[in-house]
Amino acid sequence: MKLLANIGDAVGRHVHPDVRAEPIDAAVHRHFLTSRVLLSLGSLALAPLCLVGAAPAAWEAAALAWLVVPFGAALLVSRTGNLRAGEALSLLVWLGLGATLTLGAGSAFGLALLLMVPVEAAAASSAAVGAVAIVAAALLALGAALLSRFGQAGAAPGLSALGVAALLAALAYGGALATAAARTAQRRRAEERGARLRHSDLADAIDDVVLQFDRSGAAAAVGGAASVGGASQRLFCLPPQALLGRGFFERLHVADRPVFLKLVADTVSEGRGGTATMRLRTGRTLPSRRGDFDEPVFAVVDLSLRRRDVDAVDGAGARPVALGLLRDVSARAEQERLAAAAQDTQDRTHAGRDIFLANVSHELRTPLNAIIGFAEMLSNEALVPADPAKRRDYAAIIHESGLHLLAVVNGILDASKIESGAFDIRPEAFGLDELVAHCCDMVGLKADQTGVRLDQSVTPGALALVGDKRACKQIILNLLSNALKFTPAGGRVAIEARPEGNSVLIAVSDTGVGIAARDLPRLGDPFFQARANYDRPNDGTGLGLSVVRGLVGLHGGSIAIESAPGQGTRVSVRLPSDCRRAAPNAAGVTKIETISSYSSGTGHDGVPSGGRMQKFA
Amino acid sequence: MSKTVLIVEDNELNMKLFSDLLEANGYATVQTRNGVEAVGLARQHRPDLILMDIQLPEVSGLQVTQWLKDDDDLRAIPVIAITAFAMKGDEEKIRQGGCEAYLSKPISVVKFLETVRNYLGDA
Repeated sequence: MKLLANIGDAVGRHVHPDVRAEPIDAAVHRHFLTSRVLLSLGSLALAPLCLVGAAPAAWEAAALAWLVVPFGAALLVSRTGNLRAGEALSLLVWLGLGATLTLGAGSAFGLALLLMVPVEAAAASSAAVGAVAIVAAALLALGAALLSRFGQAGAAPGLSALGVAALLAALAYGGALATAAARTAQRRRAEERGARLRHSDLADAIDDVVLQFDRSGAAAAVGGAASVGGASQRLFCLPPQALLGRGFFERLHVADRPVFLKLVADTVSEGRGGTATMRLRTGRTLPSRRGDFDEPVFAVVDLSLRRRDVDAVDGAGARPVALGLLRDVSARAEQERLAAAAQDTQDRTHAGRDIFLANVSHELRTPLNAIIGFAEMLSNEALVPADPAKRRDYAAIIHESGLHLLAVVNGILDASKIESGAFDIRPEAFGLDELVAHCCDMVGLKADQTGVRLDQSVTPGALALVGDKRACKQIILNLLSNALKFTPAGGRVAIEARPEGNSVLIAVSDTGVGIAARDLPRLGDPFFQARANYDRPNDGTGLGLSVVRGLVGLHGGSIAIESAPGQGTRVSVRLPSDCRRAAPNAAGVTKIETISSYSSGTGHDGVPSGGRMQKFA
Repeated sequence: MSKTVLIVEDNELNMKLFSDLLEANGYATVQTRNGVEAVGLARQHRPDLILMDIQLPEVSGLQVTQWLKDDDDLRAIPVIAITAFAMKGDEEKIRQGGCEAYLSKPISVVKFLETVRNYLGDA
């Protein structure tokens, strides 16, 4: 049996590819090939017997030749997949063999061989071919009978009329049985094919994939590979074979594999079904954002399993498997993700606004405290100082605090205007070098007070710029005061301005506290202040950089920030030499490029030889 | 001997306001802009009252108050918190932090002096 099974396996590999997918057709083809090949091999084994003794007669050689023909039929079926032609050729062998033995050897055994024709026709897939062959066999038998009656004696076996009639009757009866058997088989096959098509149509129409898993997690198709195909291709861009065998397991996200194996084991051994959500690697890819390669796309799927007992192929009785329904829930998962992201953004905006309100409150109340306090002292008879110099001093403080308050209010208004898109850029030509010097003068006092050195490195004369002068001044002032605010005493702030192709580079670097990598992506968000917390170590509304970003965007420029905590920060702003030619970005859209590394030396690496260094403090 | 008030406040103008007000009313003042120095100054001068700004550079006024209240020698000195944060829940947070009283900026000069007198009596 084992030998036969091995031969069957070896032959099975030669089944024509077209029918391999259809299990029943494949089995029919395999049986055809096996039986014909064995028949031919057996006949060849007989050949030496013919050679023993006298030289073989011509009819003996012809009979042997006929017995090799089934091999040819097998070859034909294997190569073309045309079973009907193979069956016709195979039937022809019995006719030919019968004729050779009858006419060549004059043997009645040849006529008996004709009875093989209806036997084989009964197994044939085509009833028509069988019928033709049976008629041919009947004619052959009739011909042989006529020949034996009227022809030369010796050329055909002597047959009585009764014998011929009995043979013909046997052929007719065999033919009728064969036709009926072939019809029945044909109808059954058509029925099965129809059922399979209905099943695969159904599987195609629903957007779920039905798979069957054994205890080890290997997948099999329930209704042939075609039943997996449609949905698999449509949902996951995968040919059906990709999910079968170990394919499904290997396409599962590594982190989800234990869940899957547990679910399968629970279902198969304990009959406890269940559903799990997991990620399946699809056939789709997306260009990666991290490098020059394509990243696989994972689909989120729900896998529902329940136990089913199936009959084993090898007849070893029923064994439990897990019948799985695979449903693509990527759309739902994506929706949930988007909803969560939206909620997160909203929460962060709310938290940002709370911090902003607290900061604004602090920024307004600090100067208001001095204004109201000193004004109350001056207006209260019991509290007003007798010394006129002191009274003037108080009035001056009220004035100064009022101006500071005005600056804070203006900053908030600017930020709000830029955010709402109401800020107008009025382009004019001006020299950036003078503007930088002017801004350094304005913050020089603050630098002096805090003990921070302020260095200037500007290419003189070569920095003509067409842009909004007020906006540029605010950009420079905000960058400088930010740098000063976050640089401790003894530190250094350096501003550099030079032409760079069609644009102008303004870079402010400091040796300040720096910005943690986790805060870099949110820099420039309105109201966001790195390390902002209740105890608020630094002044400011968290609007400075947001205003800079808005103004740079309106000029069509770009911003880059390099920073490392404890090392310092360098902010590089690139403005087009003529903002009228550059396409302005909508406010806030300008992306800030951030690099989480910084060495305080970089601030001066790019200084052109003609640059002048000016020490301020 | 006049009562001494330690003022911890980083804004120069507000520092001037508080110290001028207190000195005009006969109190002596010790001033610092830095919360870290405050504990040392408190130990050195043994003030009768501490005015504590909550928003300070480097360490917060709440943290400094915590240090003061953790110190057996300094715990008895009353601390009045002064803050420009006037959001909901601020007062509760500050009182939980161990401060005896709470004033929000902008202050009312009269109320400010009343609160100080509450803890020190007349100078």
